[in-house]
Amino acid sequence: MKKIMTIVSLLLIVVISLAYISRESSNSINTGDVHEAKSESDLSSCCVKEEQPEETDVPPCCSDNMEEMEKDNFTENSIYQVNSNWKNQFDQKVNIASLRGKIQVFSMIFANCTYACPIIANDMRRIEEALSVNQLKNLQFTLISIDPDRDSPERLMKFSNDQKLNSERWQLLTGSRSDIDDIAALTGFRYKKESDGSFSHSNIITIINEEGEIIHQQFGLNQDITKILEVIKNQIKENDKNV
Amino acid sequence: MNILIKLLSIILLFSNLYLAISNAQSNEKGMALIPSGIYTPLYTDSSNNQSIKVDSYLIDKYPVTNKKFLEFVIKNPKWQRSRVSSLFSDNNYLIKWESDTVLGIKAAPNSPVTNISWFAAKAFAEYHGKRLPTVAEWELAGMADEYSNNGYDNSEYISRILSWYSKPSATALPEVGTVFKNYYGVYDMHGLVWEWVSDFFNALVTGESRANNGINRNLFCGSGSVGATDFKNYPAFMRFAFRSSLKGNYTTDNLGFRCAKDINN
Repeated sequence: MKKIMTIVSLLLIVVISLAYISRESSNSINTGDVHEAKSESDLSSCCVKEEQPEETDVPPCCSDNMEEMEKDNFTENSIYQVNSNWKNQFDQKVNIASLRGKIQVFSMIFANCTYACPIIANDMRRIEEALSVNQLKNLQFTLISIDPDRDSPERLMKFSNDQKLNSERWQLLTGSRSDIDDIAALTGFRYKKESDGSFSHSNIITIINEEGEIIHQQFGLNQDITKILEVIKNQIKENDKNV
Repeated sequence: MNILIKLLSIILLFSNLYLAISNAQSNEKGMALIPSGIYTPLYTDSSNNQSIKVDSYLIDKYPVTNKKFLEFVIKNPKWQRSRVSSLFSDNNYLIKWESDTVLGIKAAPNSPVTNISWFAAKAFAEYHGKRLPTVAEWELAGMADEYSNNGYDNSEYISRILSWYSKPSATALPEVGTVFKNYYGVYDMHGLVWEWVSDFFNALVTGESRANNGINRNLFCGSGSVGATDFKNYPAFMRFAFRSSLKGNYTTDNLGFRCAKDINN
């Protein structure tokens, strides 16, 4: 009995002192003074993993292979260089590069939006209705959600149905915050999450050509669509000439 | 008795293990822990309280240096000056560097890297398993002066920041760690370089979704202060204006960055 107690108490002492040492040493890193902090090791602020690079830590966008692919495939101003993956309203995987080959009528929305987003969708539908079936063969209407927490593929499908969007031409995409931010930054779209969970955001319809280059942007809601139609029709003509 | 002691020691062992693990998490090398707090954006809609609760997170103690960014572009050639896409960076990208992979005399190794685009900063952060801080996170950490987590109550702190803003940028940037160390152990939050945030594009949007972007111009040009929450904090207005002027591929010679990380990552 005594023996066991001694062993247990010894063990306790060892464990406690070990824990103490580990805390002490980590605290000293945290509160290091200026001189210490400027030492070589501390200056490597952002680069912890760099010293022991592991294959799995390197995002695909950084690997040389992908780089070559991007250079080969995309024009200098193609926004599809971001190489991001999304899910559409049918819960299918969509790589951003698959938007290539069609003229995109593009905007960003969130499904729980009660005011601006249905109007944006309606503005885009007005463009769709003003074009012939033949012209529409060259077009795709794409909406990217800025609310990935709530906009599941099912939620986007519901938005699509509510807005009576033709799923043959319209795709609604949801993805990661980082990938959404890339597209927002590339299209000059500004947004901010509000405390009630909704978003304040730009109202922009962007026309993207087959290569992924932004060729026109319309700002605001309920705008006259004459100009944007002219841009689309000219782009279709341009493509027909090249064929 | 015997069983009781055994049980106690097991409990102690586990609690210590837990302590050690949580310590390891908050002690990411070169990063400081910013405890959760409340950030009140400069512009708020008066109809509802828009204070933002910021979860605790880790932030780099120093802005990223030329040396660290050089290591990154050597390993990721697509981010070298001659190879970067114009979509992701304008013509002044890393312009102080002598060449793609040589810093030269205008870019001291331990000075903060500048002439860096948001895309490049974001790629650097992601490569290291980190991210850029949000406006709210950055501002929460930036509130701290040397002595407390809210230096904005201290008018001397605000005027010190302001005097830095009004000085032209030095042609040769000082080394990181030379300006001041704040309450959290984070260096140079003010006084060295401006810094990218992940959601720089969230400035100047209030009201935009409710009408066209004309409202933003009003907000920016004068009637803006109507909705402002802190009239004293002029430096915050300046950061707000600066961020709202940015685009993802912009670079300037006094704009750098530092990384952040979630705690349970």
